[in-house]
Amino acid sequence: MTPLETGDRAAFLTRLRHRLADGVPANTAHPMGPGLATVPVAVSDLLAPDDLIMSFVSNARAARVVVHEISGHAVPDALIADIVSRHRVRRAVVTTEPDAQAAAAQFVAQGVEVSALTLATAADADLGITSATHALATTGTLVMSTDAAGGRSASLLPPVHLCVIPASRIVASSADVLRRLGSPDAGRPPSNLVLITGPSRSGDIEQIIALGVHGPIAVEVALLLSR
Amino acid sequence: MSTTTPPPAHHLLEGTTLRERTRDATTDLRLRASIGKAVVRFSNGRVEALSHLEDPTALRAAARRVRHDVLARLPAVLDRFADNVIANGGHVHWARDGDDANAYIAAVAARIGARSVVKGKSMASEETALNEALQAAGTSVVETDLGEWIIQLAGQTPSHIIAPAVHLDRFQVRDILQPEATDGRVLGTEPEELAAFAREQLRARFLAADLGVTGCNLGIAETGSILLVENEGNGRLSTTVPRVHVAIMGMERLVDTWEQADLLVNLLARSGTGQHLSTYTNIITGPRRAGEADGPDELHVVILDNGRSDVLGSDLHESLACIRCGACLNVCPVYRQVGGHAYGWVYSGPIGAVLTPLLAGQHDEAAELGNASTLCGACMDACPVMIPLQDLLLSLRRRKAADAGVAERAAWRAWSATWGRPRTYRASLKAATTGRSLTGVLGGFPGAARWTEGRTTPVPATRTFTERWNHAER
Repeated sequence: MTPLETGDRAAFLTRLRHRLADGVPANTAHPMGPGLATVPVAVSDLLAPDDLIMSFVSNARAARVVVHEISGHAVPDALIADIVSRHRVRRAVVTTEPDAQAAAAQFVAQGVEVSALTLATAADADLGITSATHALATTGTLVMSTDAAGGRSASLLPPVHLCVIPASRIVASSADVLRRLGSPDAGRPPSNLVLITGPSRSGDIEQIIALGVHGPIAVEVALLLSR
Repeated sequence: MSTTTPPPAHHLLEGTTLRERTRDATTDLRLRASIGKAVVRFSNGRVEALSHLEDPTALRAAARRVRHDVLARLPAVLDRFADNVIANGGHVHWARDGDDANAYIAAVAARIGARSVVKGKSMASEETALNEALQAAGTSVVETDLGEWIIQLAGQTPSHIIAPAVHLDRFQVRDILQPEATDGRVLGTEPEELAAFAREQLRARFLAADLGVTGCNLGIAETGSILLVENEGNGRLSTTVPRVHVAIMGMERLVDTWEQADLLVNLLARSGTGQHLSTYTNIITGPRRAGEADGPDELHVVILDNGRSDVLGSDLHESLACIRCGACLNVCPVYRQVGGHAYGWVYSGPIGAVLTPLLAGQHDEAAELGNASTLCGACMDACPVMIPLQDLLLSLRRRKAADAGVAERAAWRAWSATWGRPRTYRASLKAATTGRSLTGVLGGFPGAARWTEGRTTPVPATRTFTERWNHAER
C-alpha cells in the first residue's frame, strides 16, 4: 500500500513550536557546555590504529566470536569440514554475496544442502552463510547490509552464523560506517543495516549470560587475511 | 499463547502509596538480593567500558549538547524525519496520547487480520499499555524479550529500564515459565536451559505472527531511519519475520544526523550494560525492497507525544534528553534498595521519578516520587547525556510545594510563626520533650498531617539542648 500519514502533523508540531517559543530555561546549577563545531568520535584504547586486523580479531574474540584467520584466498576445505562436524550442519542458507556463495559451494561439495535465502529456508537451516560489507576493529563487529546480502535472516534465524570476510574490509570503528550514512553521496541507506557484535545473548536471568536466546548461539568468522 | 492479562500499567499508581510500596520492597530480602547483584554488575560494567574511551567526560558533555540542540529544534527535526520515513515507503502516525497510539496499532492489526502480535521490548508501549488494548481487541500479544516475556507471564511490569525481570531469581523464573511447558517436561533452574526453552517457545510464535511491534532507540531525521539496540535478536526477529512492523517512538527519541547517532550509540551500551556495542545495532530504512528475500512489506512509525510536549520548554525540559540506558538506576542509592516496582509505574530510578509525574498523569502519588531521592547527584555523574537529574527532582519538589493545599501552607505559616520567636520555639520543644514526638508537635499544626504522614523523626531527648546548656552539662 502507498505510504500514508495519519494524525495531525500540523497540530502536533504547532504545539511543540508553541512550547519552545520562549526558548528552553537555562540550568544555572549545571550549565550546558558550548556549542559543537563537530560531533566528537568515541576513540577507544581497544583499537590499535596501526593494526586493525589484530584489533578486530581480539575484540571479536572478546565478544565470543570464533575467528579463523586464513592466509589463503579462500576458506580451506578442512575448516568447512570442521564447521559441518562441530555444528552437525545438514542444511544451510546463503546470501547473494560472492564470498558467501563461494563458501556455500564448498559446503555443497561436502554434502550440505544449501538453499537460497528465504524466511522459510532460513528458519529450517542449521547454518547461515554470509559476508559483511565492513568489520569494526574497535568492537569486533560485523556489518551486514541488505543491499549486499539480499536479505536479513541468514545472520539471524539459523543457530550458527558463518561470515566470510576479506580483512581489507576492516575499518576502525562505527564512525566509519554510521557517519557515512549521512553523507550526500551515500544514497539511501539499505532497508536494513545491522551491526553484529557476537552471538545472541541475554542476561535477563540473574545477569548470567545465556547465548543463542533468539539469534545464533555461535558466530564464526572466516577472515581472509590476503584480501 | 499466554492468557495472562497484565494489570493496566498506567493505573498502577492508584491504590498504593510510595510509602507502602517502599515498605514492601525493603522487607523483601530476595528482591533486594536480586536487585543488589544486578546494579553492581551493571555499574561496574559501565565504569570499565567508559574507562577504555578517550575523555569520556568530554564525550558525555558533547552528547548532552547534541540532545539539547535536537530538542531545541524538535519540530523541524521531526518534520524532516517524517518526510524521510514517508519517502522511504514507510507510514507515519502522529499520536497525541497513548490511547491514540494504541488505537492506531489496533487498527493496523485489524486491517491486516492479525491474530497474533510479537513484541520487541518497548518502554513506550509499556507506557501506553498497548498489550491490554490489543488483547481487548481480540489480538493475542506475546512479549519476546526474555525478561519481558517472564514478567508478562507473571502479570508484572518492568522493574528496570533495560532488565525488566531483574527482581526475579532463577527459581522464581523457573516457576513462572514451567506452566508454558505444555508437554509435561520439568524445567531446571539453569539460566542457559531456561533461555533455550524460551528460544524454542518464542521461535514458534515469531513464525506464526502477522505483526511485529517494537520500540525505537533513535530516529535519524536525515535519512528517515530508525535504530534499535538489543542483545537477544528478538528485536531483529520482530522487524524481519512478520509481514508488518510497527515501531512506536517517543517524539523526543530523535537525532538530526548520523554523526549525532554514532556518538549516542557509542555511549548507550557502554552506559547501560557495559558492552562496547550491544550485540545488535539494527538500522531500518523503510520496508523490504523489491527483490529482497525477507523483511516486512509495511513499516509504520508511530510518533508519540503522550504528555511529552508539556515537558518541552519547561523547567523539566532536559528529562527529554534521556536515551533510556538505565545507568541512573544502577547508581541510585534509593533504587538500589527498593528496585523498580516501588516507583509504581513503568519507568523507575531517578529518571522514572522525574518522568512518571510528567507522563503518568497528574496526581498526588506521582508527585510524591520527587521525594524518592537523596539528591546525591550520582545519577547525573552516571548519565551518558549528563541530565542534571538532581536539579529536575528539586524542580519537581518545588512544583509540588507550589501546589500544596491551603491547609498545608497555613500549617507552615503557623510553624514559622511559632519557631520564629525564641519564647514560643522553646515552649514547643518543651512540649516535644515531655512526651510527644517531633512529628507529633508538627502534626499538631492544623493541615500538617499530609507532610508528617510521609516522614519519621527521632524521638526528642528528655531535656532540650538549651536546658542542658543552662544546667552546665558542658
